[in-house]
Amino acid sequence: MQRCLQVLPHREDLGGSPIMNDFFNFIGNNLVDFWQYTGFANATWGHIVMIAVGCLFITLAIKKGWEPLLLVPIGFGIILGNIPFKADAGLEIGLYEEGSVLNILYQGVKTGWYPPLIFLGIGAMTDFGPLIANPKMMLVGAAAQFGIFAAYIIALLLGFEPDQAAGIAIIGGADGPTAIFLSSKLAPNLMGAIAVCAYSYMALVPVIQRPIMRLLTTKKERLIRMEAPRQVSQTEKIIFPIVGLLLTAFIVPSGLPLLGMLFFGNLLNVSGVTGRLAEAAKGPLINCVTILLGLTVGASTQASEFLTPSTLKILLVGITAFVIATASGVLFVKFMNLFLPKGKKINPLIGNAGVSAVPMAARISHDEGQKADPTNYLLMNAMGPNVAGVIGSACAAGVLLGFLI
Amino acid sequence: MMVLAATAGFAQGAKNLKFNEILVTNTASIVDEYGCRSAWIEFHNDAFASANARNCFLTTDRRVLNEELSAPDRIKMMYQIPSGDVATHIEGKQKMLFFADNMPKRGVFHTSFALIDSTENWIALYDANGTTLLDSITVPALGENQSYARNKDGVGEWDIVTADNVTPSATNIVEQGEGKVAKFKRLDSRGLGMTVMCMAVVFSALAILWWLFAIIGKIFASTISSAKKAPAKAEAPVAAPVAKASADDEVMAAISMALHEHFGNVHDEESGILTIDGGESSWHMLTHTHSHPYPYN
Repeated sequence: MQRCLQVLPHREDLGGSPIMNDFFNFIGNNLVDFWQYTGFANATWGHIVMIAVGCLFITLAIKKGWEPLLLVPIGFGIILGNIPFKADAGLEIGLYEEGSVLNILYQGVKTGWYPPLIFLGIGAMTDFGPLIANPKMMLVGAAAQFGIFAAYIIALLLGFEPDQAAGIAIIGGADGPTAIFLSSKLAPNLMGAIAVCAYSYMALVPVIQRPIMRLLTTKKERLIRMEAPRQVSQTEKIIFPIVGLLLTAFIVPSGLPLLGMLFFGNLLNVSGVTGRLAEAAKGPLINCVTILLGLTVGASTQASEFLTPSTLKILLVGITAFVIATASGVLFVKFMNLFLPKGKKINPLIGNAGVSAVPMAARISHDEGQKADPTNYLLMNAMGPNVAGVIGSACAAGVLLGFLI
Repeated sequence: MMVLAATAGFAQGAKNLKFNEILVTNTASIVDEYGCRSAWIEFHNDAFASANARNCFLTTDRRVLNEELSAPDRIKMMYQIPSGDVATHIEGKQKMLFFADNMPKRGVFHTSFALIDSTENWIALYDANGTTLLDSITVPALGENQSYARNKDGVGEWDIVTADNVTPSATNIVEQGEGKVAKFKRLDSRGLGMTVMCMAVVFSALAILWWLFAIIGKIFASTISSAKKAPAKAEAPVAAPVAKASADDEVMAAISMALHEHFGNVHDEESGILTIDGGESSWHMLTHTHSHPYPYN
């Protein structure tokens, strides 16, 4: 009110025109400033490409149903992270700006504490029963990890440093949280590309794995029937996470955050006395962390960081890693069959499940088995190598971390 | 008040504070915030957790070693690191440096005693209670700008360090060696060594797990089978096979039911399009019988 009383007499005294000029200049300058802050003024072709990629992810998730729980948050995160704005305005809104909300949420990715929380939920959701019933499937899970190390060799050939190559190679484990965990430690500048690549290929597991499985198996092999896994007692299920943790963490202590949380989550689930905790771990907790992880990983793929030749190389190494991992699992089962008596042979179609895309890879084994023989049910048999793959990829990440940090 | 302050307890995490490097005659080393050169004492927090040196005591007076001295008498012989300054907080594995210049009014990091040139100096660090010795060191006579430092931060042996190699507020070991990544790049540029080593470790871990659970599985399988047999012998030898058959039949019936449901539930592909065109249906009839299914207001 006081300001109005001061301004009005001036306007009347001066006849209005200089003040009006100043006023319009003021409005004009503000509009120009405002324009400079908008996304339209700051957009580059990179932003547009990345926003299109984000929309593509969301479309694939919704229309094709490819890993929607991952691709929707990541796709939306890509859009969110690529909204152009005036970077030097100090608005504290960008993912990489200290103190911004997105930056705070991103700390879970950057410092690597989202992936172990996801592993807690995975542990609580995973039934290790099929693996306990048929423990030789552990070896199939181990064999499929060859994809990681083959990718390491390829990444080195493409000119990456050993630590970066290891961060990229872990994509071959087909395990998003592990990929984020390892790349945040070994190749933080490539983490966005690695995470998006890992999750994208996980969504494409059915497309990638099926032709390789068919190519490497004969009709006769695809018809092999396997005994249903034996019933596993509650005590065995309780012993497994404890012994599993002790053994793997003693051998690979650098994998402790992942292995510890995986087996802890599983113990909560099988102990029979911590049902509420298990429900929290495999329900609200993993859902919340998946939202935060997906969104911030997506948002970390800002055009300036993501649209580089390195990303193309990572995409190339990633798909090669998936192909080699699948082939390794299938071929290793065929190798095992050379030593197994008739009637005890393993259907090589479950070899692909050695990559740790749970339970997608096991479902593909089952589907392919059913295509060869609709009465052959491989799902429970395939779950053995599938959960072994989770342990195997966490071990592999721990080994790489131990060697390179 | 001093007694109360002294007996207030241990400084937070101060037990991990260790003397790390000491320089007595400073003519060319670092200057303080007043531009003066004086002797300095460096601590190292040997823990990964942070610590706070507030209320701890520094001294060069050996009389404090007399255990019969009361806490107030002991405290009079020492410099107490003031509380209330956030700068006394030391992050894990980090350093803190004090100027031993007998100028305590210049700030928290200036002690009330000075070190004596060209002679042996004994320095001790006491916890906030004034009686618990955290660390002590006898510094031999040093030349100008030489320091007495551990060869590994916080834990290593003490050595005399030449003027060119003193490291105030910095780690005492300057890594000269080739890093792990560089070694891998030089010696294993194709990645074959890494592949063989890593696959061996992963295979070993999972193979041992396989072996262990193969044994555990056998133990449990035999326990379960003997547990099944035992009551059958004791109670009704004839009834056991019947019970087993009955249980198996139930399992088979459940599986058959599930398969029947699975295959029987197959029906035609639906278009997935909803339309309001077309003939009458039960749903359509509802609009005739209930002209206003929902209130308008």
